[in-house]
Amino acid sequence: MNKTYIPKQNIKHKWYLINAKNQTLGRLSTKIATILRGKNEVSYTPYLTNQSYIIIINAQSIVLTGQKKSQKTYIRHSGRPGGLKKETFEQLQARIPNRIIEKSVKGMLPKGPLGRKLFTQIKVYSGNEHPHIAQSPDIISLN
Amino acid sequence: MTRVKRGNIARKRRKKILKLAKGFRGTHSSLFRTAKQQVLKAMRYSYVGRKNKKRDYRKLWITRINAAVRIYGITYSQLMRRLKQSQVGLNRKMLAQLAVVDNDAFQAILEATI
Repeated sequence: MNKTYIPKQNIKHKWYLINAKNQTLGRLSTKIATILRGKNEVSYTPYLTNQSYIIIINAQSIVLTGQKKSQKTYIRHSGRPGGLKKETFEQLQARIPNRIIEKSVKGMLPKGPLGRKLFTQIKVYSGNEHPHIAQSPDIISLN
Repeated sequence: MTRVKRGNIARKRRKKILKLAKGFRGTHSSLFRTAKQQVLKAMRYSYVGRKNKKRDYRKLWITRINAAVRIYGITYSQLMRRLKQSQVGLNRKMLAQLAVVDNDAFQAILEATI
């Protein structure tokens, strides 16, 4: 009782479902990152994973405030000279809509082996369906 | 001057260091000169680690208390304010332990401080 409680890595996986329709991008991503990391649990341990898997549907309908839809740019470099590529939020959403939420959540997860493992525990789908019905996920209702 | 042999003093000095290098990889646990470098490094790290350990555990307790309290709709900072005002002297380690092990007691503390 006098020593700090150290849990064992639990083997049970928990599945959650979040509907991203008309949610603000950053505010949704912080909640996802908090649940993934396990910071909402009393048995939080920084080097263990929470074993929670989060399914995000309707990633196509994520929303941004202000003028960011046409002004927020996603930048990457191919490594070759002159290889700077810029894309606005609208263009990226038309091309690969899942990448927007993935990029946002990835930036909020810890960087390292554990963070990379946590990133594999989110499953983003742009439409309304997901193939994980067998896992019977709990629905998380926001606001 | 009479001839003086050093005897086994050097061996005792080296064995002292090699004993601290048990479990190190490769020649770091068997050869004296490499082992000494690694032992010095290890002692430096453990000195710093002893001071970091106290900070790390307090961080962990605070995170756990925060998680436990948010279920009831308040934040960690608000909880600390209430505890100070009600003059509850429990430290964060005990609060975190109660939240994990004995949730009923933790709930009772919360209710007593409102």
